[in-house]
Amino acid sequence: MKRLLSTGLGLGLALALWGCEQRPQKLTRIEFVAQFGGQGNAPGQLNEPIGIALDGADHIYVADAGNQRIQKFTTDGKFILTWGMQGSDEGELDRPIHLSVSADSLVYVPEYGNDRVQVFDANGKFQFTWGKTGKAAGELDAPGTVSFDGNSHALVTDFYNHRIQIFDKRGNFISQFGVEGHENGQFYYPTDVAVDQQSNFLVADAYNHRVQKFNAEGNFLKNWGRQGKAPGEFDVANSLAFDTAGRIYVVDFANHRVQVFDAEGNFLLQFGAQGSGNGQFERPTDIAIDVQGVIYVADWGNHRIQKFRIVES
Amino acid sequence: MKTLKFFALFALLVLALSTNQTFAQVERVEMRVDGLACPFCSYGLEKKLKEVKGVDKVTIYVDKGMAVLTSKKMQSINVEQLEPVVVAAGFTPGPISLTATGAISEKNGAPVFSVSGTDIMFMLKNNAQLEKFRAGSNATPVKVTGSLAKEMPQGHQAHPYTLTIDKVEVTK
Repeated sequence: MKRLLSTGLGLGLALALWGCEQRPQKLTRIEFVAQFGGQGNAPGQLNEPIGIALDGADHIYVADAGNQRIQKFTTDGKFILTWGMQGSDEGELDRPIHLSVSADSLVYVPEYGNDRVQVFDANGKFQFTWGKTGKAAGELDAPGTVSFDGNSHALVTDFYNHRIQIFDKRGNFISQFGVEGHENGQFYYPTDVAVDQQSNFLVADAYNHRVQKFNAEGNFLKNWGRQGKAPGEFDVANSLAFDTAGRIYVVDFANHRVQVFDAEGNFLLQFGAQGSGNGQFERPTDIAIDVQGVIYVADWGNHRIQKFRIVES
Repeated sequence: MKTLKFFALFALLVLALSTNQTFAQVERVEMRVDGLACPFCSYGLEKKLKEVKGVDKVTIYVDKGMAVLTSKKMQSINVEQLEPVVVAAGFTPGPISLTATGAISEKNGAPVFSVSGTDIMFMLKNNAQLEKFRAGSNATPVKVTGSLAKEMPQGHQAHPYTLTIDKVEVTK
């Protein structure tokens, strides 16, 4: 806690503007605001935070994967509560990954190690679970993400099965799309999926180093990106999110940065570079953006959450 | 009566010794793994390696490209399963080293290491450690630490790995 407080004081002094590469015609920039966490297993400390989710009520949930738990903070980084420990029983966790909060404020936690999704209330009380290991429809092999579409359907990335599965919010299987491969519409270890304002699905196709876009029926529309370090290229595209203007933010894991694209996939800007300073990243793994344009990034290797804001000129 | 008691005690001793041998096992394995880049990989490999028979704890060191496995109590890690699991998980397996308890003996004139409590037998590569041990003691069981190489002399029905011993000690 002391560490959190001192971090907070330091942050107050350190509203550093972080460098962004911009095209002249784009007027947006990203500013570093604050950070919280720090390596450890005490309440409020983090060990390999890999997933973050916002609930729309100024709370942020963190999948603290190295500590096998979920932690809940205010969006200012004040610790509220924690739950979970390693195991496979109800309420226990084995590598929680990209979690989500539903419209009815339930926390959906995909577990890599247990091949299931567990659902908790906002206080961490177990509600229900679904999923078992396998390749058949509805079965999972390392679920990495739960996201919701406009119909409250839960979209789950199924890492080792190289597909996206769609469930109702109680976990009943509805449909799936994608197979292993490198062609359009195929996946190679997908790690995140998000739904845009037009109900299209965007998939972080991590080891194809690209983003793929599908319509609501799962039909391929387009993709962009390839392995590399240049703008618009990725080295493990592992998470994505939208802002209210429809821009797409893609977490570029091994390039230690976040890249921002317009809705058509045109590169706009990037922020972050490898390091442990304010606004720098060490292998970031997830991103969440609220309606005020505040961005939260899970800075996995630095064991912290960083907070930024979008500045529209 | 005295004779009966003696035989009963002897039988108990034999039982205890044989039970002790079943405690013996491949208890720790270190394996190089190439291609580990991110937590999605390392957590995935961790999950897959935990499915290998006998494995209890798996620790992945992404930066070192290393997986360290320890066995469940009174069980042995099935070393033969490791490479296929690593390949199926999308990675390239590298050298393996292990710590195991068992007996050093000869088969067809060649030194072998039999993992107690299992039917696993590794061919042993001659080296100074092995020579030193064989010159001084043939007591069993022994605990060995060494590295594996996938090679087997033709016609030898042993495990498909050859073990080079780095360290050997008699267990109590």
